[in-house]
Amino acid sequence: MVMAFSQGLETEARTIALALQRKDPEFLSRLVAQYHYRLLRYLIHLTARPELAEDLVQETWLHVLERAAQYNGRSRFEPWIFSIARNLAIDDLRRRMAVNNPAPPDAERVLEFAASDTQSPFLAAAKSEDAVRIAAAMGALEPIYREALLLRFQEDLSLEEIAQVAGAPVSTVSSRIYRGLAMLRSQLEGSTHAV
Amino acid sequence: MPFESHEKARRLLDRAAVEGISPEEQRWLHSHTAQCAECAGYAELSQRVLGALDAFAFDFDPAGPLRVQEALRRRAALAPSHRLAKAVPVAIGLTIVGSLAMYQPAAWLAGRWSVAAPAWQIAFAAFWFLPSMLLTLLLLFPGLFLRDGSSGDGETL
Repeated sequence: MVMAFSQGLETEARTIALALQRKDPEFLSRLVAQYHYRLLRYLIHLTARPELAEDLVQETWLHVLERAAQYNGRSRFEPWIFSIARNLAIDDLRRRMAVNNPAPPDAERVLEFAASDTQSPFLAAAKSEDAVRIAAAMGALEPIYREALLLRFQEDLSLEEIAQVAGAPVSTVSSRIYRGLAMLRSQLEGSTHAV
Repeated sequence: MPFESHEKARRLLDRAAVEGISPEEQRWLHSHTAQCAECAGYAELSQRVLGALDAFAFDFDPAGPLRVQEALRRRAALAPSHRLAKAVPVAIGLTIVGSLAMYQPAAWLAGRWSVAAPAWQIAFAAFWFLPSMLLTLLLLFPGLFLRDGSSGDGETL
């Protein structure tokens, strides 16, 4: 059954790769519809800026079109497209940062800069009592932790795939997930006791 | 119950969520949490965190995907003319080189068969130069002339 499932994923990845290489307009439109919210959610987790995330989603698809030949379908589509979105987000934020800071900062510092001067979008997006309780902690979490949690638990990426997207070793990614979970758990525990 | 058991249970609970654990570890964990209220509470809290992570829904402009699709179509519409602009000079260059090499043998053949200069030169352009340029374009840039069959209007992205 596991084999059938992985074969299914492989076939899906190959189908996407072939359609991208043909630049099939119908298929691209379907992909956009299928991945729009997921890309937006990922970029909001990464930048904490919904308006910027909307622009970056469009940029991401234009890059997908330009680099269509680079996706060979041997691995899943998600890590590939999320990597493109991540690089674009970091480049964009780096350009904004460069206005006050001529030295090029590393990716983590760039992402922290994105989150530092904005109101957290997580409270408005929280749709359950527990989500409301951890919304503030989500906003305060470093973006790399939010990113790792999202990719693992919402996008269901493996640790290796997350490492590929984040450009970090698997051990680093795994420790980000454990630490992120621990921070949210202690926030939820604290707020539950406070109520 | 020894302190190490609680430590182990929490480590396994975390690992179960992130990486997965073996059936043997699952059995041990199940029997531990059945007897230990504190670790069962930890397990429940972890589940609530994962549930809460699923309960964030961001508002987005419903026209967003349509705008992206439109932007992709516009970008794609530019692409064939850009490719053609790059492909044609390369094809002409290669064809000229090939034609220069063939010109002398063609002139020699025309002389042998007593064909007048303008006639064989027109024939050379029509039956050698133009076909070889088209062939070069086809061989070097096969995607240039392919149209996508699934699109009703024949648009190629």
